[in-house]
Amino acid sequence: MNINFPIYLDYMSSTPIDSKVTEAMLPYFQDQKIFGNPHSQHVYGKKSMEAITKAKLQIAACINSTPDEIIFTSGATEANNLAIKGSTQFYHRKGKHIITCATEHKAVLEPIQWLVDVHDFSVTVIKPGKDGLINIQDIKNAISTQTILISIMHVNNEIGVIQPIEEIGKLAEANGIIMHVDAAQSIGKLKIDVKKMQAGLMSFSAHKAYGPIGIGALYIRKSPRVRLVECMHGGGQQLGLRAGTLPTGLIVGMGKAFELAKQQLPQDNAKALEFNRLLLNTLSNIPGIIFHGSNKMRVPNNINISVEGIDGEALLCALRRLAISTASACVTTTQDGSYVLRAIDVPDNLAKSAIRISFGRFTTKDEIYKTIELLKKEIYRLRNISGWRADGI
Amino acid sequence: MEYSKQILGLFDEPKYMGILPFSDNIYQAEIFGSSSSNFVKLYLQIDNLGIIRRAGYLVNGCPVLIACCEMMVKLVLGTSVNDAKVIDYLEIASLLKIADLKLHCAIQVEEALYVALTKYLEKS
Ligand SMILES: Cc1ncc(COP(=O)(O)O)c(C=O)c1O
Repeated sequence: MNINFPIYLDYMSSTPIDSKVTEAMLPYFQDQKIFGNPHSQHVYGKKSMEAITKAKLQIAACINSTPDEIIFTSGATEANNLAIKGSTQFYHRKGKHIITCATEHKAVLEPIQWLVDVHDFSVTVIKPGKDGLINIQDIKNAISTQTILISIMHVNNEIGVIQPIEEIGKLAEANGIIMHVDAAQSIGKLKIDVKKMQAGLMSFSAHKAYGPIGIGALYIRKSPRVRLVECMHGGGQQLGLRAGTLPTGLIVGMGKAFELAKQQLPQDNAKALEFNRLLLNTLSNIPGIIFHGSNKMRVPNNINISVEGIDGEALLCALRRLAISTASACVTTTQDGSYVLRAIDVPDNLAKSAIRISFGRFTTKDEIYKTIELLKKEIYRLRNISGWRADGI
Repeated sequence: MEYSKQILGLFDEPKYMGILPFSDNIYQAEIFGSSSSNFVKLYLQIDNLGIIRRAGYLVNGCPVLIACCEMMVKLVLGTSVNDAKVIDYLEIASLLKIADLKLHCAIQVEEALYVALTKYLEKS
């Protein structure tokens, strides 16, 4: 790697593409015989459709669905939009109430806000505990006869906590409510079983799991069937649920990425756990570091901390040899600090100075050691400049 | 945020941070910024002839604020109080190539200098 490139520790923002994925995709961008529109009836088209069918099988195997329950989208953002707008458009006669959580991704919160603003829906936004986890009783209390959708994410993209999806699924099922799960951050970190979770809808993204940017999928349960109104109108592709020519190469990449995610889950997790321990061993010995999110119900590849006595911008600048993120990568232009951290009652000055370190399949032990050294050195150095002391004197 | 070479240089290797131990000829200033945790604490040791002999600071703030403290101390060390009095935020800002958005950092540091020097002038 180029010596001037910082160490990449922003895997929750996007992951590098696995070379096996690139290898699988490449022919679809090079070969003069397999470029065809998959919806065409001639052999060029059929070749493309074959590749897509295979990718669907790979994805279905990874999430324990059937292949015909998968609709491709441009990413998890679009999958979330389709799930939320599509299902509420179909079921609005049953009721117009939605339940979600304050720490959801904007790609869930914004479509719901739009439904509230423009289509007279009402929403209950559950506030999670200080550990970032939802109390199932809060959802129970929020359910009314008008509730048609519960949208809760699986793994939080900022603080890495894992929501109790199976319990929420049970509750939704018992009340005849559709549960949508944003599982953009789950693949390659947790085993996904859409049946066991009793999800009606689930969103996925390839680029958080070593696949390419620009492709994702929505799982739509067949039995009992969840129905949607399409959001993208056009040529009627994908059962009329999402018009547009399918991008064969990207889909092949997503299929391969999901296949690898399933195969490599034990190794990927063992590595993340080891690096997590290495980092925690150091960080938990430095006074005045606040860890965000539950320390039990979390994925190991994410650490989100605030450092007392150091300005957030100064810390980020001092750590510029690391490619990490403050708050969410999607909201770095705002200076307000992370809404996720504010939702779990992290004080403003600490929320502003939080950093997220996330690592994955291609992170090396050497990089983790370098990161640890740099963190120790810079925290010590900046606290010397600010005169911060653990005893507050 | 993009920082100038000058800012990064001083931020990465500041020389003058630290407290001067309390004594008669030490003049202090403490200027708090917009948030509760943001501050500049300045310490100047000024001798009987009005020469600034030693200087130090503590600061909690962004890289620009840290660089401003460092630059200001660099400018005032060894000079007379009269010369130090004319140093203003514009001079610091232009030396460090500070973006408009961050001018308030230079202003905060100028304020600290003003307060410390005023304490000296009131006493002498
Ligand atoms: C939880 C979650 N949902 C949705 C998204 C958006 O995914 P995509 O980039 O595929 O649209 C992200 C990534 O930013 C995410 O982390």
